[in-house]
Amino acid sequence: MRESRGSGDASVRRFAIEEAVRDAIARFPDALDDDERRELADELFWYVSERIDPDEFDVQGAAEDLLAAFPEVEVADAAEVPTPRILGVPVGASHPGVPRTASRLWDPRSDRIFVPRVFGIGWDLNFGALAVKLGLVKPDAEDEPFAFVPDAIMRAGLALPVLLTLMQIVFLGVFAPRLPSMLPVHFSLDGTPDRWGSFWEAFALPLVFSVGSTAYAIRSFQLRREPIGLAVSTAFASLFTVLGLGITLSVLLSVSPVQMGGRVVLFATLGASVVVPLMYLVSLSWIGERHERAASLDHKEDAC
Amino acid sequence: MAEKLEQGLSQLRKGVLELAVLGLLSGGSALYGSQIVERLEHRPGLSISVGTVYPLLSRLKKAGVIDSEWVESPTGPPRKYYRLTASGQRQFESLSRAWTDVRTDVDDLLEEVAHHA
Repeated sequence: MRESRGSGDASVRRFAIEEAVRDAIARFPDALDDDERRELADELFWYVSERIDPDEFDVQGAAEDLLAAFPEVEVADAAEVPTPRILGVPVGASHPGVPRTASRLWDPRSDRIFVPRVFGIGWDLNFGALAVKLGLVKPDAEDEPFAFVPDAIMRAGLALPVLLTLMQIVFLGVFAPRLPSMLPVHFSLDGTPDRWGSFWEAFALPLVFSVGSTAYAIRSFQLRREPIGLAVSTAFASLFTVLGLGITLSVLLSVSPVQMGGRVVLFATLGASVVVPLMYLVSLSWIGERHERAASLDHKEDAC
Repeated sequence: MAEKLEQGLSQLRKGVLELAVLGLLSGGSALYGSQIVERLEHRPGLSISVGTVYPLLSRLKKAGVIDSEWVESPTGPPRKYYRLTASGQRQFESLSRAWTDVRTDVDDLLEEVAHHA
């Protein structure tokens, strides 16, 4: 009787381990191609069968523990690949896996501010090169961007897009009952509305910007992406939430009795959409640099 | 055609730049990033830009050829210094021997061709 219960327990455990392995495989970074995935999955199975004692196996957080045993899962290769061009305009063909995209959007070592887009057509802004150009960070301040930033500070950064999204929702909630049925949904360059629409036509898009990008950033934390992936997704969420909030405010102002220029708000929004993510990334880099430096100086003292 | 030639030149310089950086750091000297950039910029033949040096330093560090270390500075904030690792020093020595051979042979060849012309 006792024996049979024991073996039943073991099979439950085996099942839980298999489940954890499947879960871990599902969490491999998007950037890996099929061959890399297969190779890594093989190693994972080997690791589980050779190194893990089923009786000791802690089912709680098992997938995370398994992934943590494989540092190479985190360090996807960000090697430079030539970008295909059509008529001189770069056309991104590779899958927009986070590591490569992220390291292009914060690459203080490169002096190119505009980099060919990883996904889609055109160029992306390399905030790192911009920060160096403005004299805010040194190109080699951090060996691995944001690697030394404490987890708590990294997570605290999410407050920025979350608060901006909440502000937008609160503004909409407060003003919705007092709005006219037709709202401006498009403005000409001099700031006068040239197209009108319903409440949702005016506010759905900026709301999707904010909620979507914030959800993506939170998801990156759940997936335990590497620090640069977390930093860049938070920076992007702050960019889109600034845009979302700004567009919402400019529409609200344009129909308010105050008649304050919607155009001023729109330009301020565009400026802020670059400055806010830039300053977020720069501060994070300062923190990372301070911790990297402290670790290096400590290490030396120990050696003495 | 002109673009092709330009590409070839930049390929040539890229390969040599690695040797130049190893050379600056050889024999146990430690330099920080902007010192390396400065010393290379003094040599217009290399025609380097800041944007090529730092990514190269990062690659060399990942490859274990160089190492970095923060050092307190008597004036101003601490700086990150680079130096060769033991394997970096060996790599520099064999690269620089290879470079001497290549240079001698190519110089000889170009001289011969010039004489014939």
